[in-house]
Amino acid sequence: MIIGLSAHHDDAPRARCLAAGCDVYLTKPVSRAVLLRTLLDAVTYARAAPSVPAAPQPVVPEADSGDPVVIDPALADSVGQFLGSRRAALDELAATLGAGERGPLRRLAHKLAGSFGLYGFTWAAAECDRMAQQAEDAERARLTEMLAALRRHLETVDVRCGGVAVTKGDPADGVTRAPARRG
Amino acid sequence: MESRARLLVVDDDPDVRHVLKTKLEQTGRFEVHTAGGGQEGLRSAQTLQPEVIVSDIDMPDVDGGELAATLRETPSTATIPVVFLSALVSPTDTGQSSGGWPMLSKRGSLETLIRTIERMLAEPKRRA
Repeated sequence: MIIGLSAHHDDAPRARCLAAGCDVYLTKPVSRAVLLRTLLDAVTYARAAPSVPAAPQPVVPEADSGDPVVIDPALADSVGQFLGSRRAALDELAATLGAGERGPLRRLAHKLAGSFGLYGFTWAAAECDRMAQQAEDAERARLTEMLAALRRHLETVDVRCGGVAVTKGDPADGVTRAPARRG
Repeated sequence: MESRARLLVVDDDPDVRHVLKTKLEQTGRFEVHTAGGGQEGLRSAQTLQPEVIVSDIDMPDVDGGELAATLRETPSTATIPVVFLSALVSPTDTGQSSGGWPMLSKRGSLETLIRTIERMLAEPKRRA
């Protein structure tokens, strides 16, 4: 168990430190209480869960495979509303990209990735993560392309729960119906 | 059977609040209340006295870091543990905030979140 200590409070050094293999990252000044608690945590963790590595993150392909998204049945009633609000969030993302605000774009993309991940939209979450990572430097055309792929995904995604197609709901009335054929 | 633990979920995205409330309550182990931002989170923490707070970090009004710091400075909420759940944390991170609270990724597994909450519940409370 390695505890990294640094005076840097921002995210980047923390991320690098964790990426390099530190288990915990603390920022100075560290109080005695926090240090002791961290050590206690480390010992408790080590005892409770010997050698449990972090679950490997599956590699999610850049191209949308079109595989169905399987969601928790408890979320079946709200997924239509969720897809509606994510479309609105993509509009906001597009406006932010249009205004050239790359920092806010990165934050929005991160937030979207988080919400997609929690719902079970693995590809959309990974694509938003890629967008967040590239938000500051990528060509505008590349980001526009990613945005278009995300919109297409929300239009065509096959949402299932318990083997049953839920499809998409109109956010206005919450009624579920098959996705409209496009093109 | 033990009663369910009272949790407060703080996130500015209503869909995130909904999914977390649904999934955490589904376990039968938690009673989940929600707040739509840092300000509301502070008020709810005082009135509800949750056993653990699960909070987003990047929120427009009062962010998660400020929320945790203010809770700590307020006698009635000083010992409530916080678990940060953020999209800014990558799924392979198992970091801690500078205040010593666990920081989990929204892209990580729900089991990790549940395990962390249960660890916080089992621990003796921090001294204020």
